[in-house]
Amino acid sequence: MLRSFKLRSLTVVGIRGIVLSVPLSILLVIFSFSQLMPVRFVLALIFLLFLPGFDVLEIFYNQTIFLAGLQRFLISVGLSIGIAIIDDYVLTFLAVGINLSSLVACLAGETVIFSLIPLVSRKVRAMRTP
Amino acid sequence: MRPSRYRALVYLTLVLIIGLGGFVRGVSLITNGPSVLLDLDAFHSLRAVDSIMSNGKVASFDPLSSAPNGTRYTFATSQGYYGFISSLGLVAGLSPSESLAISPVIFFVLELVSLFAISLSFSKSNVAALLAPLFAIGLTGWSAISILGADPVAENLGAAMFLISILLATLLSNRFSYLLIGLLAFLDGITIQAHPITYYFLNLTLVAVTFTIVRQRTWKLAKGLILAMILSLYSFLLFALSGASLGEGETFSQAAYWLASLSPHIYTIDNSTLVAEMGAPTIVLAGVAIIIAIRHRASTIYPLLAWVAVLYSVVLIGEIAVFTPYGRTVESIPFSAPLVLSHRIMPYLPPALCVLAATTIGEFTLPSLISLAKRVRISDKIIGAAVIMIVLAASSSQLYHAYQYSTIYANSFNLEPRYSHLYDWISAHTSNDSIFIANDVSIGVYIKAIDGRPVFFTTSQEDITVTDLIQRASVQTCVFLPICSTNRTISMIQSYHISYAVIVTPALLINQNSSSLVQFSDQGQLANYLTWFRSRPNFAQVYNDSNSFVFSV
Repeated sequence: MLRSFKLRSLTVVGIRGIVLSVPLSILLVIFSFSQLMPVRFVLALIFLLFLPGFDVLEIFYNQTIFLAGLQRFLISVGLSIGIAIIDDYVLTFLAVGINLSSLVACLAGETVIFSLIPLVSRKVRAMRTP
Repeated sequence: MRPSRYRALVYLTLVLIIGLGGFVRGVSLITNGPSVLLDLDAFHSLRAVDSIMSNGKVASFDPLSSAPNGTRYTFATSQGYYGFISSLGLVAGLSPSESLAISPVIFFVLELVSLFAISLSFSKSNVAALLAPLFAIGLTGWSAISILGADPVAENLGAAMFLISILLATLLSNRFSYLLIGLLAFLDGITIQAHPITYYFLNLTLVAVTFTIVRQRTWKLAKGLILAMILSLYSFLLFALSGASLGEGETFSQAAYWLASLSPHIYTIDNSTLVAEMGAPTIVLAGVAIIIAIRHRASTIYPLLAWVAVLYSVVLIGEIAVFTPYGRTVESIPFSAPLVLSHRIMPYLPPALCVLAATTIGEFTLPSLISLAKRVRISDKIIGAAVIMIVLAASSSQLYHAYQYSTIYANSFNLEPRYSHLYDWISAHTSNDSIFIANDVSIGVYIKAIDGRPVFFTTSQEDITVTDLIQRASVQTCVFLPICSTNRTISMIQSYHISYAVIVTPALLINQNSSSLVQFSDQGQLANYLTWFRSRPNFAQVYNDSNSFVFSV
């Protein structure tokens, strides 16, 4: 009982997002400048098609608890594609340019930030609660 | 069977169906290799992706387009798609062509999974959910535009985003949630970055779905969908940032009507095309679902009916535009290009019919059969197995047909090797600013992509979105068909500063005088044709191989 409560609690604070995003972001930074093409390809798929959207949905976990696993996955994919497209515009209009370094920094950075938001917001809420 | 095992079995079957689909659709990837691009649009996309990957920014103007500088109508139509493919290429370390060639596989899988999820949300039947992607594998022709391996077009992304948005709309039609509204608005707006046509058809569908909700008097849910559509208008800001404007969309509507008017009308879908590409069994099953839903007032699938009805009406409007005297009326409808060029409906209409066909079996037929079997004491497992066998047998011919289509497509649309010597010669012997005119309406797209030379006329949108379209089509006609006076032809060529004329076989030529497309493939005709061409003053042959010729002008 206690164990399942802890697991649910961890899920609510968005630990899933952090557990996935932080290590994968480190791997993205490490491998993106290597010649290990299969690893790069898999990481590219994860960061362009899944992780950013998944982390955004995790921020709204309580409001999306009714979503089935497959629905959550597909919406994550749609959101990730949208975020990747917006990233391209942001990089273009900030004159940073769309290149490997800027994309890796952008994708890894935003993913880690998104994944931390649920944890931070829960901490803030806990501090406000008397 | 335990629920977890049953769910695992369902997902395993889905993986098998996706694998089967990969085999049917991935013939080109398997036989031609992972970096070979097929067909016309892929090479337009290649230039755009190459531009982004080389210059590091979203390009707002295509320097090789016929559209005048300042209109900026070119790469702007699918900037999101080009940007996404470029990002994939850069992060994964792929070349532009590799990144493009691999992308349909990704979107193909997404489409099939989306179809599974949509069917499940409508029917709650796992059998229906599995059959919908199975039926989608069997699509051919224009309807396979979105899921054909190695044919990267913006609608690959568009179709996947369309289906995910429809899934969200389905959720929103059952539950009011500001978060779902926000998510749908975001995805709806992003579809314009895949292709404006995706946005156009998605919102037509959402309006129709909203009507079905209004009919059920669930006003709050309808308001949610309307709010999502209104919020999605942020997309026009993105569209403007990408360098396009609505005025250019209107110019494209006129060009689209011109293109659709050329006979034979290959860019307009009719009912026979729809049946041929989807297969009669799928159409019949979808028809049965529609009849049952209306007869028994199955309101849960009304949104699906609305989806089919509104997109099928586009097919009818396209037919009216092309085959009746009311074409000019259709042309006068603002932004009518997607209605006139109705082949563009095919990534979005057939998936709905596949879901309906699957619903007929999984939702309407199977439960009735199982209850009937219980009365005569036949195991429901036997009934289930028998139904699966019947469906597989019925769809096997369509799957085989799709495999054959995929094989033919992989061979006949692989045009880069066929004219490789021509491209090499152009690259080595002509200057970068030499303007080419080519007899085939498509070959110019390859010359632009491979050699980087401007081409006077192609049927790509960036070349027909011009104010002097009719004049250009007349020049194209006069240069390659013996129906104009020589002096007039020469003066027109000089006015457009054309340097070289390219003749390839086989080719599809434009005859502006009779508003038609002329097939030129007979090798017997070629000798006479070349004799006529060589006899004209101002044309000197400078290159030839077995199926291509270049004349300097």
